[in-house]
Amino acid sequence: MTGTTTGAKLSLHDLRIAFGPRRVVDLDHLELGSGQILGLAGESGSGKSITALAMLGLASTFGAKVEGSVRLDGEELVGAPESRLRELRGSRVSMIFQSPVSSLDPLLEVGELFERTLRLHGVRKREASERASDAFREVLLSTDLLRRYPHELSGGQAQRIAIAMSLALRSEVLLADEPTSALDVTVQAEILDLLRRVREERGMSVLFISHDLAVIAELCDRVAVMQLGRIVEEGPTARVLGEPEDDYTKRLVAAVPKIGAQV
Amino acid sequence: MSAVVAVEAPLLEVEDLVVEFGPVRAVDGVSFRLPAGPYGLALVGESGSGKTTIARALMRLVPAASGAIRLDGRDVAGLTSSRGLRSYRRDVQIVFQDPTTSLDPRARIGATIAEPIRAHGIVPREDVRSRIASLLAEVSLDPEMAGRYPHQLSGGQRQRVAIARALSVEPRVLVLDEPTSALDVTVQARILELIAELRRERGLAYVLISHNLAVVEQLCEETAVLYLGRIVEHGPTEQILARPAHPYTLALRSAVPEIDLAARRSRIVLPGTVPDPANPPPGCPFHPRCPYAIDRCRAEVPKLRRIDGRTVACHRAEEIVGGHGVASAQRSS
Repeated sequence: MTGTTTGAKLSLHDLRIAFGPRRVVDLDHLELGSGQILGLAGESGSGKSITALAMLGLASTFGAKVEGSVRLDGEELVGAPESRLRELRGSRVSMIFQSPVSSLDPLLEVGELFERTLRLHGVRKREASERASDAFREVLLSTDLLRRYPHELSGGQAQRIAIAMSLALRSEVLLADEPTSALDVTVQAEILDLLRRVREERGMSVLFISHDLAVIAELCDRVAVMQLGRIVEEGPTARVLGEPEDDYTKRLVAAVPKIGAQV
Repeated sequence: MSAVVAVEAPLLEVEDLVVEFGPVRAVDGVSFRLPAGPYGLALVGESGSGKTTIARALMRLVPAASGAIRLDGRDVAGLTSSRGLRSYRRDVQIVFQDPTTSLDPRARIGATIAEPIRAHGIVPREDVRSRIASLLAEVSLDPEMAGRYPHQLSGGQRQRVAIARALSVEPRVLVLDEPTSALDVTVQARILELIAELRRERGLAYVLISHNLAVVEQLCEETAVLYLGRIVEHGPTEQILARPAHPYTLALRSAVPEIDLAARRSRIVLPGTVPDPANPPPGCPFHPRCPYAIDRCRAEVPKLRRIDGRTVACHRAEEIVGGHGVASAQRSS
């Protein structure tokens, strides 16, 4: 499926991330294929979030030192000028977070936020509002919500809006960091449906970071399991979670509570 | 867990509990009984279902607008005397979701556990220290931890401390409010084991509040499913999860992600969102989102009634538990 480098949308090589003397990520190789949903699984402190931030060239703003290579369609991002990274963020690579309401600007109506963001990316005012409305329809939200402030939204609505932003910006890669962990289970199921759909319809490549292996099992084509900054196992989701080879993966899989597992 | 839902001589009984916040009825006529332990009753539901408000009402942290909460047959909802409240607070203890915020960051672990022991005079003063050590050992923590501060502990260790503190006053009922939701999955598994172990060894009776049906299945023989402040289905956990009789339970069950792809069920999509509790819809509160709703559901509030070994508030429960009418529902894979 993604054996070759040519199909890679985003690829990491020898990525090392450190905070001062403490190395938190030591990753030989990871590849997100075009139109693929790749799960990045692991527990707190495994380094999955900082890895995603490094893909946006943002890890250094958190004081981390990044070495190695992050390539988007072959273009090297590590060491790229900030002006170039700023161009790529949003328009090529977007990120959504666990707490969708707090990732929106509390002082702006949603529509205003869309307009400002799109205009920063060189979209004209008129087209910006069209793109916002189209994106809202695509994520199945009423365009009335464009007139709302973030505090007037539910968690599920806010997460749809965050995804709509990446659609309006025409992002090709979506980095999703625990995007359903704060949501109710029925709302989570809807967001997972939506992510599947944007992959089908837009060919979006999605890196889905989660501690929840069951969610990853339902959504992702492939999964990489991270422990203490290293990838201990990577492969097709059904294989990795169905027949894990690594001991840590085995423990993680065994720890997932399952309904009907005991009689 | 399997057991017959007990009805005799409840330890804790909640009857027709109503809790109001201004115009909002957060809890609307909830009743359940918790027998003496070892026993687990789960309150399950999503945001706004009222499950945490019920926990707070049980702890007397929010007042009941009406209804009764009885411990050993004595109503505690109206308790105002400090002596009555004191003994109730000893008998019923709570463990919160987030051990980081529920422990005093400036107090050493030992002091945190000592406080309720001293306040309730559980053991003579000279025995407090050894009591703390044995409680820490009981939750599988090194007694040395007594000298540490919460920030020096991991999330799982902090939750063990919160459990030790709750147990320190020998409570008869434990309220566990999403005790593992903030924890990593391997840590969660170990805390669940600890609860199961304490249940066996102490004969604990507890009310477990959770949104995780798999956790509920491991720890509770009885489950009540809440929607918009009301119980919509209530009975033996195994039965409710295996064959839901309420469409909301069915949807909730179908939305649970499964790591084992073979166990995956086709999902029932619920349109819309939970209605505004200040302005609930007429008829069945679930009808605007229910794939099975008929005219009767829009007009008549369904009462809880007995069907197939559980109680359920749905006009079409027989068809749903029998698997009929499912074809007419909106589905996606």
